[in-house]
Amino acid sequence: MSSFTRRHLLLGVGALAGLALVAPLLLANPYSSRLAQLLFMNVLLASAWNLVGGFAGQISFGNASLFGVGAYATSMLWLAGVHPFLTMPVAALLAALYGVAWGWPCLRLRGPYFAIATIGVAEATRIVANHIEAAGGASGLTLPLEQDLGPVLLYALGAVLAVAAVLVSAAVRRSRLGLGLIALREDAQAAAASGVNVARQQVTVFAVTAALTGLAGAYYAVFTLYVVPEKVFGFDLSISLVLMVLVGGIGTVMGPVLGAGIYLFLEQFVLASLADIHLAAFGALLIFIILMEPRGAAPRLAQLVGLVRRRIG
Amino acid sequence: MVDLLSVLASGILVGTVYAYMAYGLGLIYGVLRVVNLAHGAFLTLGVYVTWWLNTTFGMDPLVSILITVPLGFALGATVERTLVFRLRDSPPVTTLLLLFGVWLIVRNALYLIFGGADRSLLTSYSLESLAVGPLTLSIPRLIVSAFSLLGFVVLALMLKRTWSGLALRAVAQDREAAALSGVPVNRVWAVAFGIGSALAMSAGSLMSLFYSVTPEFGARFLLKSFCVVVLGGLTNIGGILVAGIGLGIAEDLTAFYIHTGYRDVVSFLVLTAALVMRRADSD
Repeated sequence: MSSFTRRHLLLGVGALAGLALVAPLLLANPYSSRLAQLLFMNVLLASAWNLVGGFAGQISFGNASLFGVGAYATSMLWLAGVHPFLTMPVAALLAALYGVAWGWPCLRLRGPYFAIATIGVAEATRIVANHIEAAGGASGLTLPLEQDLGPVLLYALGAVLAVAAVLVSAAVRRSRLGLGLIALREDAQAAAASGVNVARQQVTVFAVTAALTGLAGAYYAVFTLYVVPEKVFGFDLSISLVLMVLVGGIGTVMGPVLGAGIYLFLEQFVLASLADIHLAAFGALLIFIILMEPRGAAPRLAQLVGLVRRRIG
Repeated sequence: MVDLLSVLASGILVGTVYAYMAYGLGLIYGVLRVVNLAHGAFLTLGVYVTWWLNTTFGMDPLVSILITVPLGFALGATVERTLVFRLRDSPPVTTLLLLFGVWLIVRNALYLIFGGADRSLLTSYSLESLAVGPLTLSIPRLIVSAFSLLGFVVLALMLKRTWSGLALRAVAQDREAAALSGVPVNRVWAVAFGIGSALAMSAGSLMSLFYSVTPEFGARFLLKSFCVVVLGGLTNIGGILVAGIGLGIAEDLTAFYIHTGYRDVVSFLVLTAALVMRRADSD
């Protein structure tokens, strides 16, 4: 891909090196390793969602359906004896297929219609998943604890997946495909008139979103060792992705990364002490962002960096 | 045959309630072009207020409509004035997210006030039924269905015969032309959101007669409401009524002949199919 420059590759290697350096710090105890795993998963999910949600402006409330497919694919294959690493490409592929299956008709819809259709698909998927006895039904699947990959391997796997997702996001942003999506977000008719194949571009990018979201699901299954429909196909999961991206900065490459971090921090440290008003706090945050900072934290951070640079320079 | 008939009858009875519950969503969209994701919050609030009035003061759910209608109107108009109004020129998706935030806050408030347990109420006629030929029809369902139809008639008359109704229809048709002809568009928006919410809360009162409620109640019925308005045509009263009944019948047929667990899958699939097909029509 021509838009994937050597600079991206260097940045990716740099990010991985940085993550390797801080690894001993994050692997100090089970809780901090779990935080790192959740952070990697959130980055993966938010970057994936942003490809279509941010660049094309198609807000999906249904990504849990893709996450769940990935989580279940990995779990079921693992239980059948396949090594978890080998299950991951399958999880990504199945999620991408499922994503295309419903994305292809639904992406012809725009704005609120698309958003509502995605809720319908995801909820239908959740209910059906609850009734598939071969996949454990409503009580889900428990994975073999004795085959746990261990914190170091899980950390490495998560870091690679998260960095790869950000690189994919950067590549899409700069590609002809990404520019087409942004044109579509700004003015669908003008984009179509200038030769953007609106339908096909969206479906292509959505397949990437779906594959990455499926990988996040697979990763989740591997580090929690427990999947249950209400969680992996749940509406709450779909909503949390939207929040992460909105908090960080929708339609940017680094926004979802920032948002994934802020979200994890809020969830773990602020809301843990406010368990009773957890939902209301998220609701208030959502309202605040939309009314006051619709572009999220990323532009603010960029401003701050610019200010510091000017001071130093 | 009797099985099929009773499934159809119960589908029709539930369907009229679906139509009534969905109408507020369609009205708000028609006038404001806003997808009210807080619709489920108002439905749930309606059931809880009715439940509370019944268990505390012994008020009949049908009488409590006299309270849920003005309360819903006041709450809806307030939400429009304080929040939705600020986003009048933003893309519709931002308002949708904003109202989702409102829903989260209401859900949380309900958990704090009423807890997460299932609440249901019992009236003297809750368990009564009426035999019509070979069919047995539940009395509360018949009453609720009759009230829903009555609500529809009142609404249709209001929209057709009163000045406020005319103003609502004018803004729904063309906001700028309405403003130019002297219709106070801002006020009409607040009124429309108020009426839509009043409809949702009073639908909650009716639904309390045969559904139990938790703070999560709204999610299921929000999606069913979407399904009905998308299928029926957003502000088309007749269409919504037919779509509601159609959904009720389709759900009951699925529950009876396939699996009760798949009842809700029907509405979600119909919703998505209806959206996609409707869009294909207009292309």
